[in-house]
Amino acid sequence: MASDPHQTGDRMPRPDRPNFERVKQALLLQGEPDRVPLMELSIDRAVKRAFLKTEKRGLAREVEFWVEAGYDHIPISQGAGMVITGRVGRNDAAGDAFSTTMLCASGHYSIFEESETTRSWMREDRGVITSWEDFEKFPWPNPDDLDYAILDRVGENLPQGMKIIPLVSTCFPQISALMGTETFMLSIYDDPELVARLFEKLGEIEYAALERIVDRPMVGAIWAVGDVAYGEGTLVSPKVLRQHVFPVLKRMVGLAKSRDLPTLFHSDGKLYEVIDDLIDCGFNAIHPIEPKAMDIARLKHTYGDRLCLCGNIDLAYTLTLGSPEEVVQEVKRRLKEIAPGGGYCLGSSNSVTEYVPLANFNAMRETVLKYGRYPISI
Amino acid sequence: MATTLGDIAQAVLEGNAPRTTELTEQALSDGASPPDILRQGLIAGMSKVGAKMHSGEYYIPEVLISVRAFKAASEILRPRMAASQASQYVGRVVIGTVKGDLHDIGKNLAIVMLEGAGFEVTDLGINVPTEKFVEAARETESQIVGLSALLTVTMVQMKNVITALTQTGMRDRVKVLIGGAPVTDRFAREIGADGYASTATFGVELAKKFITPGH
Repeated sequence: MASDPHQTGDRMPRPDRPNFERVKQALLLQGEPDRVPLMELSIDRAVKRAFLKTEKRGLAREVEFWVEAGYDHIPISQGAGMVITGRVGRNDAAGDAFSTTMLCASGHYSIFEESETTRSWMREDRGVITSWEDFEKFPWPNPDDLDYAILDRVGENLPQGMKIIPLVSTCFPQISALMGTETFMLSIYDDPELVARLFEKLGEIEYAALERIVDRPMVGAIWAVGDVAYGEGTLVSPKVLRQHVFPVLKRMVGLAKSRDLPTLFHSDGKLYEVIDDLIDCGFNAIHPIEPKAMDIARLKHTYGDRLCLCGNIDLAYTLTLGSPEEVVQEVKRRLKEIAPGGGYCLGSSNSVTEYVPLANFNAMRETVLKYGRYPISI
Repeated sequence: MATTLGDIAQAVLEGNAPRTTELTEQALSDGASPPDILRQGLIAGMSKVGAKMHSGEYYIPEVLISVRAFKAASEILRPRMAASQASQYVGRVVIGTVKGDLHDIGKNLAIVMLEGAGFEVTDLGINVPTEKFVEAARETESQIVGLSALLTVTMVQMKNVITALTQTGMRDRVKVLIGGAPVTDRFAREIGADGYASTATFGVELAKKFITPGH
């Protein structure tokens, strides 16, 4: 990789205005909006800064980035699950369970105050909750103590037409992080009651957090985020997901629906076995459709009348290791093959990480801005 | 006797560690030889586990409880196996997560599945420097080098390991098997790896193929 992957020439200015209606229309399968929406749940700060050509930070810069780059939404992590992943999952904090749990308990979390260089790693052996005693002792966050002010602060800076999509958790990776992946997997057999109780507990907190989110006027949709699958299938059996995960999600989706908010589901990996379950939960869209794991053309054919498809531009190769021209070609192919009729939001097949060269990120978004206007003619 | 060994395989398949160890003790007291128990009982069981993972019947929790049963019974057999018997491995593998990457559940799963198939596995751990793979492959006279990575940004380290193997004249003596979330067949071909394992089970199949004479 080049020493500065974010060197680039001038970028194309956004040709249209933010308009969350185009996102909503795509998510709700209401035919073709004016253009294919761009969709990401996370873009690394290094890419954002290089794009804005500034080291300045703050809410105004954050909003400026998403607007200038062509998006109609800003994704913001919310809820207890995100706090827990952000803190417990962090490898460098693993040795300090006390400070970790206290951070969880205080609900202190901000997307703008993350450390610069640390990458989060899921704990894979033993976590902080491996027994009923740990469960009782754990300083569970109080939904009222979580930081929702960020929504209001970003909301005040939003231009007309732009909305926030809060990211809440599926609880699965958070419980995996709390127990440690291996312990969690073994506990499904060794202590199913504890696993059930953990999902119930975190699900309650997450639902309560969502109750405090859904009535805010700047919120445009709800995104449930958390991997339940890998390249070859779901991590645990669909039966376990049906028992613990989907009931929690169904309740959360129901709450969003009662406020007319569309809902998106994010999980890496191969989800074929549980797509009907996700539809049953009421989700409007699935993301990120890793090309390695799922065939988006097959999904469009089979589920295109029930689910909006989001993502699918290959992070494993094209966006990270390919050339800008390869990115342009892949984006054009998706626009041509998947976008007609609507129900598609284009974006990376996971997130825009710091090792996506800015030129490739720009190639992706500019191709959508240039060729993504309906009717598609490529 | 055959029934007992079959029962051991079944107990491994069910992930029942107490029953696996109990049956292993019983087979020993009935006079079964440790290598027979290992191969026809424990390894046979793990092979069925692999097949069930392959066919989508087993997921990671099911594999992990089987692995636990396999490991518990292997510990009973290990001290009873003569040195010559213990070294009757089908092949040797060095394996690790590449430099910059701290992810290891996929690698750990691959290790037990390889051990379950009769391989001797040297685990180099996580965040393994390039030269360590080369040294370990040489020292252990392994036929296979296994590389794991979670991220696209660390995955590129795999190419460095292959380059280092080539530069030290080791490349012709080992097969390089790679795996991890971002890894694809295409990437494996591009960096000149010998195979891509999308699951621990596929990894075992490839490893078996690699050590087949004439491959």
